[in-house]
Amino acid sequence: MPEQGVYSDSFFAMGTRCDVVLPGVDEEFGEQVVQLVKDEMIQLEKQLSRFIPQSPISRLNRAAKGEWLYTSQTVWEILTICYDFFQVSNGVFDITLAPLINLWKTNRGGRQIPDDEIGRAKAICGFDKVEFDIEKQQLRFLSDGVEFDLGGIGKGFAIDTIKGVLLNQKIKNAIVNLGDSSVLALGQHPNGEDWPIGIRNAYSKDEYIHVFQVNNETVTTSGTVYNTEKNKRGVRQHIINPLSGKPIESPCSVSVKSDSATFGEFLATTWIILPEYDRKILSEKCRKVETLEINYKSESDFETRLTIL
Amino acid sequence: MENNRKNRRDFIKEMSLIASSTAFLSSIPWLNAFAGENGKNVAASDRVRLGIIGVGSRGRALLLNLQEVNNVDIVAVCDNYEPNYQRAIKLTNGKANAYYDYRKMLDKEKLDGVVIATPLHEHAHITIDSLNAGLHVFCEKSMARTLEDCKRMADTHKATGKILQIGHQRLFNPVYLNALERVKAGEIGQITQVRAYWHRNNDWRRPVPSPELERKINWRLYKEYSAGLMTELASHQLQVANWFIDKVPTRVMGSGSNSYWKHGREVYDQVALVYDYDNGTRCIYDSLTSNKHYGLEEQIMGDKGTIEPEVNRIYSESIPKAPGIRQLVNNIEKGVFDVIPIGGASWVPETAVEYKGEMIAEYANNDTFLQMVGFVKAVKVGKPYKNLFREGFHSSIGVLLGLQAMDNNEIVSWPEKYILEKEV
Ligand SMILES: NC(=O)c1ccc[n+]([C@@H]2O[C@H](COP(=O)([O-])OP(=O)(O)OC[C@H]3O[C@@H](n4cnc5c(N)ncnc54)[C@H](O)[C@@H]3O)[C@@H](O)[C@H]2O)c1
Repeated sequence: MPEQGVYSDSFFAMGTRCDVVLPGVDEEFGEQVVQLVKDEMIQLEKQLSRFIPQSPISRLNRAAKGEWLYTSQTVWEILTICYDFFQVSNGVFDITLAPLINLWKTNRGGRQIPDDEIGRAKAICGFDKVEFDIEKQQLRFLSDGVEFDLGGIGKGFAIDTIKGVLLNQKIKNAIVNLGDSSVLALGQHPNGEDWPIGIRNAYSKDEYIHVFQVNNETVTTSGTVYNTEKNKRGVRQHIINPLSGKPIESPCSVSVKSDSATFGEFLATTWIILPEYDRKILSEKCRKVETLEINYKSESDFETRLTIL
Repeated sequence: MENNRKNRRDFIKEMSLIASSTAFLSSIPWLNAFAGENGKNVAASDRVRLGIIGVGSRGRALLLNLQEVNNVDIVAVCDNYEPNYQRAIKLTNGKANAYYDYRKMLDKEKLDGVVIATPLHEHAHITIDSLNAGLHVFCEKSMARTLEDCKRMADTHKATGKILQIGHQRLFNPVYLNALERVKAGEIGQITQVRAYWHRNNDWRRPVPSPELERKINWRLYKEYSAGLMTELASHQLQVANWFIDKVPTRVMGSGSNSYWKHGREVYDQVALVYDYDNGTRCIYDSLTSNKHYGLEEQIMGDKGTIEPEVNRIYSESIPKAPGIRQLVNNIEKGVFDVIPIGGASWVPETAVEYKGEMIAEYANNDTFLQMVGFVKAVKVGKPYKNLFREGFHSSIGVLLGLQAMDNNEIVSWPEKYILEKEV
């Protein structure tokens, strides 16, 4: 078989590792392209990170209730997208749950968190405590203490942004991988018609549960199971059902193939939280989307369901 | 303080542990050189009798550290400034005999060694007198105010065979030692440049109780006593550069100025220098007294990685790819079409999610203590560590040549006579 040139590089940004693979691209051009991707991600991080005190998102998070606030174009864009997601999911997808997430994060020892504690955290959460004036591009908090956390959507947003960067550079075929949970597969593999993205078994890394055929699309995964490169695995309580204030505890994951990774992140997270009968409303609004649901019953037994919308 | 003491005790334990690992031994000749002999020739009950000359700000710190080292008696203290003389007596609970004049101390006391922490211009003659009196010497950095004095100190050290250890504590710092070990193992590839800096935002001025004490107390600001930033700060970092590059510079160029503190200070308030080595490597140095944002660092740069020892960090030039991506790239190169295993559960990467490098070594801030332990150990054995003095010497010479380059606006070549060959 013929040998193929391929440029690849990896770097860290937005709290994750970013791998870029550019088949048929020489080193000089490849370096330039990766630099552009990196710059874009660093810019996004400066905008979206709530851990950077000077970021527009942090500025909003510090603001008092009542006053009308302006923010950067990028932040405005992502917030309004998230607000749409919040509405179509009937409040299930919510980027203001930091107090609940933090509460459960402290629960590593597995202690039962009393209901009143959950109630207190829940009381300061809720995207409905934010009002948007779409005309004037401004927003305000209707109560104190509301904070935005874009951790669940930022990587998807970055993937969609990077797609634009690559297309601008006339790159036709590429893989961009953000921490294995958000993947852009542009064009096709040099030796195939698409990019076969393998969704692995969380408890047996060498085994695929499903292979998505991806062409100019993205694959995003949300889940409670995690597995490190050194094979440490477990369940993380980081996906919260805003209605109950409690985390999803069963070992499961949802992977979504879609045009937009921002949408993919939203759908994957929402799919995990939503009960069966509620998914219908949502699925009626989706086009050209595949979702793969994996529920692990034990380390060796799992159930899957593929839905093509 | 209690806590400090406890910590220090742990450090000793820690030291003996580190010192017994073979990887560590090869990079720190001055700690293991006598590992065997220590137990054999010297009874554990042997106590080392030390005198401290110059118990100012640094001398006090050294004294407190020495009080934590096993088998050391501080039997004499000496300072010619009344408040510090009195303070030294207090610090030793009156157990040490106190002197105003070090010569009297050398005459009267039966000592094994002295620790000298006087101002720079008072290093050379005190060191030389002590060595000639048959004593081992620990002398604070930098060695001396002039090149000739450095050389005379080196010559006397050689002639008497007594220990002369210069106070560059990074030579005993586990982070630096571990970093050096990793450099020798090739982890950051070939070092081509060290960029070092020390930035502060203060004028170095100390309050003076009465005007006639100005020059005594603020000796750092006057050319007669000090080479300013070069001997006080650069000395440590040039030592690190020489040590890691493992060479003596061939020449130095530089420029210094008084740009900010217009208050009768004679020494430069900022300096910038380039030290060249014979293999094309260089050390780029600068020091500043009007901005502290960047602090201090020695950025040791190789073609495979970077070491920043001050912040205890090592960085690789290439960030490892996700395993699935590695496989994909291999496959594309071979023309193979296969599934790309990158989707799935949150595959948390093991490496730090933000690439902030890796810690070089666990370390509690105690290198000053460790270097005292090292000195006491050498005194017990009675012999200098191989090549340790050489580091202090070349750094001390280097900073003075740098000053010369700046003062005379010339490129200064390193004179042959200021090179000490490595002992094997
Ligand atoms: N290794 C380090 O990190 C480090 C840190 C600070 C200072 N130092 C070095 O320590 C030395 C002293 O610095 P410092 O800040 O303590 O200065 P200092 O002025 O606070 O102390 C010097 C002391 O020496 C005394 N003295 C001066 N001449 C004397 C003499 N002939 N006999 C006896 N005592 C005499 C002074 O009275 C004073 O008490 C300098 O060489 C400096 O470079 C090293």
